[in-house]
Amino acid sequence: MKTIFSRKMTQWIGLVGLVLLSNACDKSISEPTYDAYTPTALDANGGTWKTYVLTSATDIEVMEPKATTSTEYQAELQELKTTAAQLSQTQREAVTFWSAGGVYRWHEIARTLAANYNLPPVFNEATGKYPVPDAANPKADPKFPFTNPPYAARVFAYLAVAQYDALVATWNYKYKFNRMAPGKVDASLKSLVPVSDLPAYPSEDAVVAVASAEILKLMFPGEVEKLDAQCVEHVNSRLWAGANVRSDVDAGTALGKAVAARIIARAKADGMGAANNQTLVAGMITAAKERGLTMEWKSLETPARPPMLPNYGAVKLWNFSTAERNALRPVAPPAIGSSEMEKDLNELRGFAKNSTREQKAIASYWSDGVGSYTPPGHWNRAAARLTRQYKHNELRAARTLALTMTAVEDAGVCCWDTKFYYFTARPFQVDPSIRSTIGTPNFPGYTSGHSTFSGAAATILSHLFPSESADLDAKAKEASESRIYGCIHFRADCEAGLKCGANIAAYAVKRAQADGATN
Amino acid sequence: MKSTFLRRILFCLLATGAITGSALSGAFAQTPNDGLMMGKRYICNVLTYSNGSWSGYWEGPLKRSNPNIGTFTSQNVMFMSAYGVTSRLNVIVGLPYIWTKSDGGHMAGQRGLQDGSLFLKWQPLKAKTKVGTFSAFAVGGISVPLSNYVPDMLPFSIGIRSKTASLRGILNYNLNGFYLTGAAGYTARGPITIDRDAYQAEGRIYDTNKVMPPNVVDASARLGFVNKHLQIEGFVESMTSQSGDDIRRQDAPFPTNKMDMTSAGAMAKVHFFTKSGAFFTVLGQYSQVLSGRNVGQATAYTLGAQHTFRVGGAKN
Repeated sequence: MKTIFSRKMTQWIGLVGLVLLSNACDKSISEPTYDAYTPTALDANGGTWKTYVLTSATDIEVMEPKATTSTEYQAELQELKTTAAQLSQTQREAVTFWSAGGVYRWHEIARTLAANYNLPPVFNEATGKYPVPDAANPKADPKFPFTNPPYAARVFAYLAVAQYDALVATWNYKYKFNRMAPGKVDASLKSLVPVSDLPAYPSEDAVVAVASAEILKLMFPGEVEKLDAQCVEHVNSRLWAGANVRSDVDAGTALGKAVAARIIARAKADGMGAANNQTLVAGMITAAKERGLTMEWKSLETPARPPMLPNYGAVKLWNFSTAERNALRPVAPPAIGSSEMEKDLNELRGFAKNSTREQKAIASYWSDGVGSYTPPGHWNRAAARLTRQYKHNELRAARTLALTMTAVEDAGVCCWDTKFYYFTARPFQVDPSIRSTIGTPNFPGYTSGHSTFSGAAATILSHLFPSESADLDAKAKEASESRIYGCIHFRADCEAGLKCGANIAAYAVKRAQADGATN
Repeated sequence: MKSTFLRRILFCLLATGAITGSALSGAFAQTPNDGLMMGKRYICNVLTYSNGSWSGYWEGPLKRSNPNIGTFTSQNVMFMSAYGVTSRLNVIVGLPYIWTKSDGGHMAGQRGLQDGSLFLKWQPLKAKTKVGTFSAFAVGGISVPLSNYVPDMLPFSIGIRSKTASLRGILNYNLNGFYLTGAAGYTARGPITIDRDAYQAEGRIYDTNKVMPPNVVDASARLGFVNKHLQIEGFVESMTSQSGDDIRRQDAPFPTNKMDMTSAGAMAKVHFFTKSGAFFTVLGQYSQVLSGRNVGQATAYTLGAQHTFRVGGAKN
């Protein structure tokens, strides 16, 4: 009897165990995949659109290509056929990956780099200081750069502007020379990606690959080898796909590099090098006190960490002047001791004691803190996804991202200017009972960065995608309020930031209305 | 008679053994890994308070401290109950309530009901010889989150909200009250859902709200002595994640991390009898993490009370 019982139990436990283990053992996580699509429009007049840094689409000269009837071109066609016949699986996968859109993929890479580099330096006990990341020694500890939100905003803005300006020039030459894609020239050539009537010379993919890689190598000097490899793969994927001949990508490579050099020249002179000028801080506090500040911001970290990029507010703007920045700066926040401040404090005391699970989820969803791709990255993803959802061609996708990310960097600059102009404390400093569930960033509170970034991004995206407007505005409001639920901002910080962000993006909207792209 | 009685005591104690506070996450509830069984129709109910704290932790392989955390403390109250379905099949349930805090920085602690666990323990082999008694056991278990706590705000999260399934083998040797127990187990952990829909791990962005925590192998060895009135034991335990990434420099821990640790400890237990044959027990345990990766170097103690009795009254 006992033996039978034991045997049955063995079988039973064994079976249950196997089922449970096999269920829990599936370690794969599914993520969205992105396929190639045929754009809804080609924007044949794209070569006339207004550029950001280039004075015009013809700043960089591109040589007239050989005719498709030439022996040189026919030899290039033959090269594509030979290549297509011996593609490896890895090459096919690269074709699929990059066919999702060069603009899309390079912003995805930028978001990954932002998250990988979003790590604040560790206090050095030996020197008694927080070390400053060194661009000349990017792989040392601390790695360069510390991709905090202002740095990330600037990365995305330059990446998008380089892509956009380079593509405006590309479109100009494409429709000037009108050399069709190899699949259109030779029907026997089967392209692995959709072929449109967009002229193929110069290759928009090569332009985007090279311009993007050049910008990202400047921003992430520790990633040069990897970015070069990704760039080469992207360019080659067009040959493997039979989508461009070699002279298409060679011309694109040269154009992308030349445009990137112009954009890099702007980046090197935009004031970012002085953004971390800590010697200005004492004067900023004095000036804020003269304007009525009673409790200046102090770092909540131990040991106290110098504030993040106190002079980022002086970085060169994209869509308006410094005088206009000053005019955009919100009025002073409620003073400590005022009834408005007391109201905001009490709201936070309530959330510190008790918040709903939904409020916790919202705080976490938008936390975008250390180790993440930051709030500018969060909105970069939203913009990039919309370009796919609305099947933008490469040029229009780059324009959407350029308009959005320049507005977001402008928002960062304005917000930082405001933060260090008023130099106000965070809630925990005012009342230590207000502890955070998501972590307080290391800079003054008024106005909220999340709110400003989000207000700006939602406003320009709403202009570009009017049918998404309600959703975008709701997301921006949620992002803004998430900082209240997380107890790291007063409501006044968030409301002023959200409104200011919208005002900042109005300049990008004005630009979009007049840049030649209609809408 | 005596051996059955000793088994009951030992089993219940070890069932409430290792304590959650030792991992950075506080996510790892104990598992039954002793070498004994409850007698048929005996039940023991245990209530423990545990306190694990650390001021040093491993960021990957690097041992460090962080004044913005200061001393981190994870406390829990745990109810555990074990019942002898037969003398060879026991069922065990556990229910922990956990709260966390730190005395440095400005982060808020978290609290809540963590993961309920259910184990079935079966003894397929028991051999009495002239040189002692040898036994072998198999334990299968599951755990399921009992509340919708936030799983990815480590170390403050009270757990990682993974559903788990585990299998464990145990070998026990007993000679005149001295015992030696070795156990090894494998815990498979299912995917978790976080409130964010993108996160960084293993050097890339995952574009999803699903996170896969690593599976875990654990092993332990226990050496002890027990008689009618008291029990003492020393143990070493290890936990090794089978995959996972390291906490990055100055980053927070995350459920994908490879959390490993080895700890050592001791426990003691004293029994007080009632005339009915039931008894009450007070127990105490102390443990220290000796080495680790992506975990806090926790010092933990447990205090508890236990009531053991036969369902339906004393055995005739």
